[in-house]
Amino acid sequence: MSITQKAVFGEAGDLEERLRPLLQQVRRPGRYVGGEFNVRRKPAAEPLVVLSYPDVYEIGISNPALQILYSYINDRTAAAAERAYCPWPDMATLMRGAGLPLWTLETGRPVREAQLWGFTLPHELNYTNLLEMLDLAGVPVLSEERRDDDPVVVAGGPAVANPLPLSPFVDAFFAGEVEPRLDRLVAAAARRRRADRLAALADVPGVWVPGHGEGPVPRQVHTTFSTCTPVTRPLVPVLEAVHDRAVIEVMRGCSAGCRFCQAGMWYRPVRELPVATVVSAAAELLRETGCDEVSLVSLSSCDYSGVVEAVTAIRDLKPGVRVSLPSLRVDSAAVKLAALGTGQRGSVTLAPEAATEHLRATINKHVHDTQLEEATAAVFRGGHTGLKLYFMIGLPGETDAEAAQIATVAAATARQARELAGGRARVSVSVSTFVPKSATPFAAEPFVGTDAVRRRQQMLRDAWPRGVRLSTHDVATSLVEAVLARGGLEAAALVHEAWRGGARFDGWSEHFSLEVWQAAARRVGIDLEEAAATAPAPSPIDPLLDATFLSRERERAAAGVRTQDCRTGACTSCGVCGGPIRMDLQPGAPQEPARGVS
Amino acid sequence: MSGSRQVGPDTARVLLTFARGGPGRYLSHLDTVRALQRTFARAGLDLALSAGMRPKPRLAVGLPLPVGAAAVAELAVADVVVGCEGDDGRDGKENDARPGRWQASLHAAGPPGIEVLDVEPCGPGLRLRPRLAVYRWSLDLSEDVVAAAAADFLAESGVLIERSGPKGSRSVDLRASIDALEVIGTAHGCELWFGVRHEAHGAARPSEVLEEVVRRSPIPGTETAPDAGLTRCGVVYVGLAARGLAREWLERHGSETQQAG
Repeated sequence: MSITQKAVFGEAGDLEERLRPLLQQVRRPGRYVGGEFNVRRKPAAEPLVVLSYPDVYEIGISNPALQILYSYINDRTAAAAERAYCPWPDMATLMRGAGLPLWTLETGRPVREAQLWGFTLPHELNYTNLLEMLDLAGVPVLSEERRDDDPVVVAGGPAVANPLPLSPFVDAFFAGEVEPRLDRLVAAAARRRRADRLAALADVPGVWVPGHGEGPVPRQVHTTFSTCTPVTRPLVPVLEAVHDRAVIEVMRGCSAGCRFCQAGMWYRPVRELPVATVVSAAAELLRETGCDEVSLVSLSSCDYSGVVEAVTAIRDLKPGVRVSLPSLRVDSAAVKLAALGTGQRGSVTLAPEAATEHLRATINKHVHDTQLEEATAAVFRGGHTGLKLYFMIGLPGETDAEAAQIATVAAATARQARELAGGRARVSVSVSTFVPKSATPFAAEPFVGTDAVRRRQQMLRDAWPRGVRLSTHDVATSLVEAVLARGGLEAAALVHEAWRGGARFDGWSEHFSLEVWQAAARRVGIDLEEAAATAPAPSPIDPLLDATFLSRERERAAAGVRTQDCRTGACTSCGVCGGPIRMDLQPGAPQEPARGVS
Repeated sequence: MSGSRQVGPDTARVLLTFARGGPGRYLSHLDTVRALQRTFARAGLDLALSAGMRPKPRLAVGLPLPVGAAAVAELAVADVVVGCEGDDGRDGKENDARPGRWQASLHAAGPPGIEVLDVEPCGPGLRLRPRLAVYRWSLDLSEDVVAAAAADFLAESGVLIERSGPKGSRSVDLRASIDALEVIGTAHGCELWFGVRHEAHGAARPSEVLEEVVRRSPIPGTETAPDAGLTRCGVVYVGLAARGLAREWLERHGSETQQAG
């Protein structure tokens, strides 16, 4: 039996042959050659759109937004969508040494040959990676230096709520949900001259081109979400990724109204898929992916009207199929629902976010202490062996004593867990730092400051109960995130200087260097602590949220007053709904979010 | 795959031959196993599950491939549930055409870097215990340059390296693991072929062999990545007839291989 590689593996083999000397020298070389199940190749198609997630492959391949764009462009337009992720520093060094520009995983073409290069921006600590990818591709980092044969660089994702820190580097920002505007974006990219492309992009609703047009650009809402079919032929990596499961977005938006949550505000209003669509998509996904787990994702999947029906029906599709629900609500019904979906009794994750009822009222996450106790009981009575709790410190109005209460809750939870499950019970707690984000009621709140965070972290360590694992976030990364989340053009200069100073993969503890950011801040005349505490710069993006709603929510936070979920309570007058934009729940949806699992 | 449980009457054990190349070169062993499991699932062919608290699909891939190596004919053993969705079952369990149909389904369902070439029935007692692996190293260089390096390596009575692991370091004699080593001229340069014996105490890793060949006698263009361009041409397993290029190798180097067997 004899085969030639090119004959068997086609273009994928061709790409691999060219890159082989580099691939043999780097960690996890599979990151750079693609080869996923369901990969699409349209080498002759035009225009070429490259889609990127500015992080390493294993993170980026798991991003559902990129999967939607990839499927749509390749399957429903004449254009080709290919991908590139941020090369790990070992590969970046070799690429620069070899003079090899960043390539696409589908055909190995240089990314700079694309007409449109789209980035999804999940958070601020990816910003330097975006600059790194531009540079590795041989595309000028500054928009003003790009020419007709360079791609237009477009960015989307929730971080676009404040695009100013990237505005010198990105040609156009898309605010909101891009599906209804994709055809126009692709058509705009097909223009030959750069100026024409930018002008055409500026005409697309939801697009902000720095220097073009006036007034804030309104965020776009996918008003027909509920009638669309989810992605059923996603890319499935053969390399181990952070998420190894089939994904269905069952609901977009969240009306719980947590005041710290940018996604909860950014993706309003709630729109749900019919259960029949979800179940039929799950059947197709299982066939196309070969996965045995389907994850029903959304910002709060337990609140999806048809969640019990969907979980039950998907489990019945095939023996051994598991259904997972991320972002569990903190109550016993949600825990039982999670168990129903997986049939397994591993670990459960809950996010009370704050340790006291007062602070939870401040952030509008109305979880009572008894609900947490009941959820903990459901976890360990249900046979689970582990519980992980997420908290934040640095919330508006938080005192040192309130932050320290996290240790008290951890001790009580561990005690309860031991009583119910004995020595095999494991409780772990993750404590992150609150970073105020644009387009939320807390946007104007100052970052609490590194001294306060360090002090509260130390108080927690001093009071921490034995037998409970505690993990805390590096406050330095939160400081940088806070500066970029609400910064203006001075933050753009900071990002540029930090990247020039070597900042990459700032979300990775092994790569983040506060010294690099401090040095960059000195060069551009910024004090990081001061900048993090400063009110946000006015954004050119309109998140559709009424300014009165935001200020009222901030006042209600200070007073600890609850704002009802508009699915079940009165309209909160957030300003998002109007015209075709409206909440879209499934017919027969219960007025109360599903709690019907006994 | 644990071998303690008898294959049930509703499963069929098959021997799978697959090639790995292109992007598939860079998969770890576990990634390769997972990709094959997923290929079965996409083909609608259910793998039987092992017994116990955490059932696993009954699929065993033979000798792990080094990351970066292509492969021409690797073997795996799988227990497929007869009558599952992807097994149309029209012609009954004894149907000779069934493996061919499964091969076609698996071929279509695989990822770009893995190609299922053959599926054949096999007995329930089959275990994949390697005794010899045959490698080919392709170079864009004249045969003479590489032949000189190979001769230098073969002239050594022993080639000791230190291999460190969690339990400390130990010496390994690479030369003793080498079954034979030869250089063949091709239209584009040459190929260095070598066989590595697998014995109870372990075996030489092909990357180690190539590093030592290059270290003794530098070969231009291989300084940074000596094992780029490595292909495993086949593995000979205990109790299984050698196939394809591995069989040709045995025919050429039969006497030395006898020592390995």
